[in-house]
Amino acid sequence: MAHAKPLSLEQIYRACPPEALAFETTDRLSELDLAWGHDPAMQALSFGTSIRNHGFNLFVLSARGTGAREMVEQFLGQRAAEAAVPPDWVYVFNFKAPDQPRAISLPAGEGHRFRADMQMLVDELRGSVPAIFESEEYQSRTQELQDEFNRRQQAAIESVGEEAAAQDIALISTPGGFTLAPMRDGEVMEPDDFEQLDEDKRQAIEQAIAELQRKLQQAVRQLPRLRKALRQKVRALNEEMMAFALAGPLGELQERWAHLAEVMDHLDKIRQDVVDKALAFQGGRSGGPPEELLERYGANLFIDNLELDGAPVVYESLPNHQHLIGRVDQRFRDSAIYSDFSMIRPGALHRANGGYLLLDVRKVLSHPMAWESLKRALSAGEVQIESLERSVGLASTTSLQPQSIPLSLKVVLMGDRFLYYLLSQYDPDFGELFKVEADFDDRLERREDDIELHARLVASLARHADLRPLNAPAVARVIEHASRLAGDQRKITACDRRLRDLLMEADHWAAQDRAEVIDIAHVDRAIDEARQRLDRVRRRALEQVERGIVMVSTRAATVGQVNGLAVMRLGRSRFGLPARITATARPGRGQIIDIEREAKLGGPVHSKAVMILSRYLGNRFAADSEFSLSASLAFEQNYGGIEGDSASVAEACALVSAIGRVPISQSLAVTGSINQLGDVQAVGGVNEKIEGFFDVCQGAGLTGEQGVLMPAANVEHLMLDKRVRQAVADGQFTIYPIGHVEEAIELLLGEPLGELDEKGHFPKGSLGARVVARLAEFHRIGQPLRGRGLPRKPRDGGPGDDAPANGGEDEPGQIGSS
Amino acid sequence: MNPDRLARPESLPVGSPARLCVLFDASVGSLAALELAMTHRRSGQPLEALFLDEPDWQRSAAYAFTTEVCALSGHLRPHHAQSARWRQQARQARAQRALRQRLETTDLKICAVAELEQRMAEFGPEDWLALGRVGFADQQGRRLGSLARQLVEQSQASLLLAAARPQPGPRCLAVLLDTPDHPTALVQRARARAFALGLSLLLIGETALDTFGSDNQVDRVACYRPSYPTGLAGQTELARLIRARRVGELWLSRRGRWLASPDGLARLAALPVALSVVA
Repeated sequence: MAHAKPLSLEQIYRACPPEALAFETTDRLSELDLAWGHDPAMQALSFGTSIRNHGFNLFVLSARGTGAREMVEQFLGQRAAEAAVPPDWVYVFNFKAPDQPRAISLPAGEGHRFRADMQMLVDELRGSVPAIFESEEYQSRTQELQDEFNRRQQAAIESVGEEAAAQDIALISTPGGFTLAPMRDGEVMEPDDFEQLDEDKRQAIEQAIAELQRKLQQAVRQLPRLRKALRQKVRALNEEMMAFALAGPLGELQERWAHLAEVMDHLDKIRQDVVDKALAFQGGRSGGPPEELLERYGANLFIDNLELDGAPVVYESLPNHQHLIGRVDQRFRDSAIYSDFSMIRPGALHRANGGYLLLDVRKVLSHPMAWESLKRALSAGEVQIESLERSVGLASTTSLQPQSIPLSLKVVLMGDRFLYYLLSQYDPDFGELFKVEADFDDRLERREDDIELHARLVASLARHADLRPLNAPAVARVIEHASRLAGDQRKITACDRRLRDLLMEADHWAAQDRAEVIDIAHVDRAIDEARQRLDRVRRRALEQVERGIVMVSTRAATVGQVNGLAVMRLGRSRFGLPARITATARPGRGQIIDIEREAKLGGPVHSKAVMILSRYLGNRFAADSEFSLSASLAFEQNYGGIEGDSASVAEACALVSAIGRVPISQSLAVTGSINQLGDVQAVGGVNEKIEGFFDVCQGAGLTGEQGVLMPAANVEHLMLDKRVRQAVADGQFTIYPIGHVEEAIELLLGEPLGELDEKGHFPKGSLGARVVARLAEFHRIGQPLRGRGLPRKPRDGGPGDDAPANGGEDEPGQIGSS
Repeated sequence: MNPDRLARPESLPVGSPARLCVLFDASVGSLAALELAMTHRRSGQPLEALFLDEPDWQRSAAYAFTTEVCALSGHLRPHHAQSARWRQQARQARAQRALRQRLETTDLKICAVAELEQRMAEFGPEDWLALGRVGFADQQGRRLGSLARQLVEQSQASLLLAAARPQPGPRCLAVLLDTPDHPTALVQRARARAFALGLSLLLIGETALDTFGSDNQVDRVACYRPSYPTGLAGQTELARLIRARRVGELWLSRRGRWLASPDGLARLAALPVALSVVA
């Protein structure tokens, strides 16, 4: 096994030499497109906004602060500028179904004119209709009709009266109608006098009265026909007058809108309605047509694209149900709730129709029914305005149901990856409606050839935030810090917000110094001060270590005890600290007890790691024999829970130390994960872990022998703090990359494990041989216990023992996956 | 209060109603006439009410073979003396109730139509008779009843011909100047009436501006010069004017050319205003 060589300064930090930047200050640099470096995502945007098939809406995956929204808005703005302006929409009264206002599409910019024309028509009707009905011609003609009716009505009765008078019979008006009676000298004859007449005369009079009565009935019964005829004639007159009143203004409108069939149809319906309502037009309070009637002929300019130069790009910041699909306002009129087509209001889907709608998916999901409403509209390809109460069945009162408007737009949802994966997994509609993913990486490549571009990126950020320019060293420092934020020498963070914040803080310090340019000192100060503001918890933790409250050794060596490394995350604070890991070993049946798991403080990944290392140990030291070991592992003084596998190298080393009774150097800390073959795998947070252990060592006093063992696969992730770099440069601190756990064993235990010979044996006297021998001793000690018949159930899934149960040592808790 | 309310005249004209009489037959028109008469009545002035009895109607009910033809449907229904008497009594009772609601005492005298001419001879030019324009004859489509026509032609008294459905919310009182001379007395009486009702005064006719425009006692006057022919055109124009200016009462002289024309009275009776025919 090759001995791990310490890392050089160049390996633990990738500097950005200011000399490589060919400018003095960033005000000389040209702007860089913010989308630089996000080619895959931008290609996805380009594809998603080009394809016209149904369901190809977009989901933009990005972490917060990466500036993805600005990039998307900028892209959509450019794309929209090349697109056609979508049509205007108006809502008008629906004469066939008054509770379903009609939607009419008009060429872009013509909605204004249509609304104005309708208003003009209303004004015309308001003024001209009363004039028509007040005109001498109309009054005369209606009076003529009335007089004609009266004449005919009177003539019908009078003719009977005249005929009666000729026969000395009186036609008398009564409160309820008419009656006939014999007459003499202009007065009705007394009955007694009538009786004095002879029989023939009386009969003749009675017959005459009966006949006249029949004629009178006929005359009365034709009156309703006369009245109906009068009404029809008056109606016809009204229609004629209204048609005349409309001819001028409506004729003009029909000429102007002849190119739009829907408008022409609506104008025709207006004409018909005005004629039908001719009588109602006379009945307003002010003497003119009732306003409720005139309001029907107006137009609600629902979507007005007059000012647009291309397709719309709409960002809805409050995407609730109403704001997405629109609403119908209501008001009180005559003590009742009232609404009409003029109170329909557009939602974001309407305003973005023909273009692009940008939404934050988290906000959409947080409003009741907003997500469902959005999906429904996209699935149907149209927007139906409906109140929230109605859509969930809470309201059943009659309300307006405006005609739906067809949708043709792209919805661009923005959200983090967690939400995207949740929706993909659990919402079957999601995959049907959002087929294009634009995944904005939160890290960009850092290539030497791109250093100028990196500088322009920094310059652009500063310029957009209206900050002072930076000099070359300051830019170099920012680039380096961007790598640190990315946790990778070959990357820089794509989190614009964090870089922008850094620049703003550096600008502040430059202002404090009354500098015109931001230099490296301002940047360093911004970084340091930002860290210090979040440093209280770290300082308290270090204090506890320094005071021995939390026991961490940085000198000497101890059997079965190793310095592991962990990362603490609290809000925006993130720091590393060493953690003492201890191991015990005694005879047993191949169990390695994870005390953290037993105490329910260990997560499943940690438990898995312990199982893996136990298989490594068994495979390495007892490949052909029983693994007669009962061991335990613990993170001492840990009360908050442990997760992850980054301590499995340390745990393996502690176990080897405990089995072989060889002390582990406390000057070193180790982090890394191993597989079953002992290979060391990469872990996260290496910078914080190394710096955390360094701080503890520095606090106790550097001896020159301290350092950290870390996975070789993590070397490129190192961007260590300058104090660590200085110590490395001074030879006071060392960082070792390890590729195999045996490299760690050699460094920590001070001797190699040894190479197996062709028989699979370790060299005599080697560490490996001592471990094997100890395990064999454990096996021998454990044999009498097995002879007493204790069941030997396999703990790790291996073949079981045939010996019966013997009631021997306690069975510890099984280590298994959760 | 009408913003165009006239200033109080310097002196009220002579000839305030000496006697005021309402002719009742319990029709809608006669009830409107009662309301109109109440507005003319001075405080404490007695109001005479004559219930017009129609003996012909009673007599016709006594015949076994007479029936009543309903005015709306033509249906025949029995016409008995007893029911006729009952209906007559009911009409009287309605009339008395209407009086009692408006006056402290009810003094409804029964007068047969045949006797009416004799009774009317007792009324002079300073007296007022109030009646509905048409009684039950409106069933025949008439706008003017025979009694109203007779009184216009023959009575000496001034007449208040009430409209069954007058103009709501009147704002002015109009005087139709259609006599050859200047009817100063007519205008003065009308002015006093307008003042009492809180209405403005509107003079209609060719001579209005020339004669009364400078009259200090006739202020806030709107005068119309166009000629008002009688007949349909005149009726139409008057109707338009009445609606536009919200005329509540139209005063005219018995000697004017409207009442002299053959159908002038009938056309005026078709207007939705109360007519005051002044002697």
